[in-house]
Amino acid sequence: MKVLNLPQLAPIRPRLESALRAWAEKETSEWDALVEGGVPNTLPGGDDLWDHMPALDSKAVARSSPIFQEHLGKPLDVKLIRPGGYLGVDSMIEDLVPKMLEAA
Amino acid sequence: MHLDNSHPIVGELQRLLPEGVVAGGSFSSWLPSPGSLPRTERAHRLAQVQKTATEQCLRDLLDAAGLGNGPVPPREPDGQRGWPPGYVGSVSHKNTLVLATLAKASNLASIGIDVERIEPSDERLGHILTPEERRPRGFSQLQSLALTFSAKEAVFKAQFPTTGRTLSFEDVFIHWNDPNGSSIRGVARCGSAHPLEVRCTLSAKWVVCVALENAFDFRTSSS
Repeated sequence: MKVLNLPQLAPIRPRLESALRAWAEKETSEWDALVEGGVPNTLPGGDDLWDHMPALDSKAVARSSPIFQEHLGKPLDVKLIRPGGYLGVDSMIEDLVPKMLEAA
Repeated sequence: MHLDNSHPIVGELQRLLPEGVVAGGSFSSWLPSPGSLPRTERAHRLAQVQKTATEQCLRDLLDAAGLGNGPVPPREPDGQRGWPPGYVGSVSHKNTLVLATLAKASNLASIGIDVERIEPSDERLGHILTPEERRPRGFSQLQSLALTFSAKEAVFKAQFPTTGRTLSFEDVFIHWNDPNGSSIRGVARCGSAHPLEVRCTLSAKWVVCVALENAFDFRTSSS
């Protein structure tokens, strides 16, 4: 596995954060569009619209692992994910990126 | 306000765990229409209502266990719930669904539960399997990844109170038995810790898993 030194990591951080924001935006934009499209709260099949909201819980955050792999050369260490997940991408980045950079 | 315990996954969890009492259900009726909230407030509102629903779920759980006069198990600094003395328990939630279980420590040494909704993007969870680990047979690729994810999350929760270890997916190896309909069982090994029994079931788009260690096994292997 490629080990990165500090000067190499400095320019990676904004690119990683930007990629994580783009990933989170993609995760949520479809649901936001559905909500704003005026669909009823109960979807065909009986699902509630809220149940389709892509929360940044531990499973969703685990799916972002390939982004860390691409930018840091190592997958996301799920031990670092805050139990219960995050309220938004800003708190996810604030918590996870420094930990992953330190681990890289 | 009451949780809607007619959600099918509540009954599925009780079937998986006859040793414990189960409470929970959907709180979707407690929420306003997401369209009535600005985008930036939706996640916050869901989290707020989820916290209230979790407290209600815990009160229901204590009632079901005959401990209705006790305080709601608080969150400890390490994130664990402070269960009543002599009991082990676990909580899980996913969007508008919350579940909790409680069992006597004389029956179960530890317990962890996890509920997940199967989503198309779960196909990107392939990295949670160790290289030598097989997926559970008899399920689609998506279902098998969601099952493995949920089972490992349940294992993380079950082992922490006894080992104090925070594990990663590669630290847990699950050996799955053959499925029985939409249910499947297995054994989870995580390093030198005691193996845990894993029980999972699928219901429509939902997965619920339990990881547990019998008190008898725990006492035998600890002595």
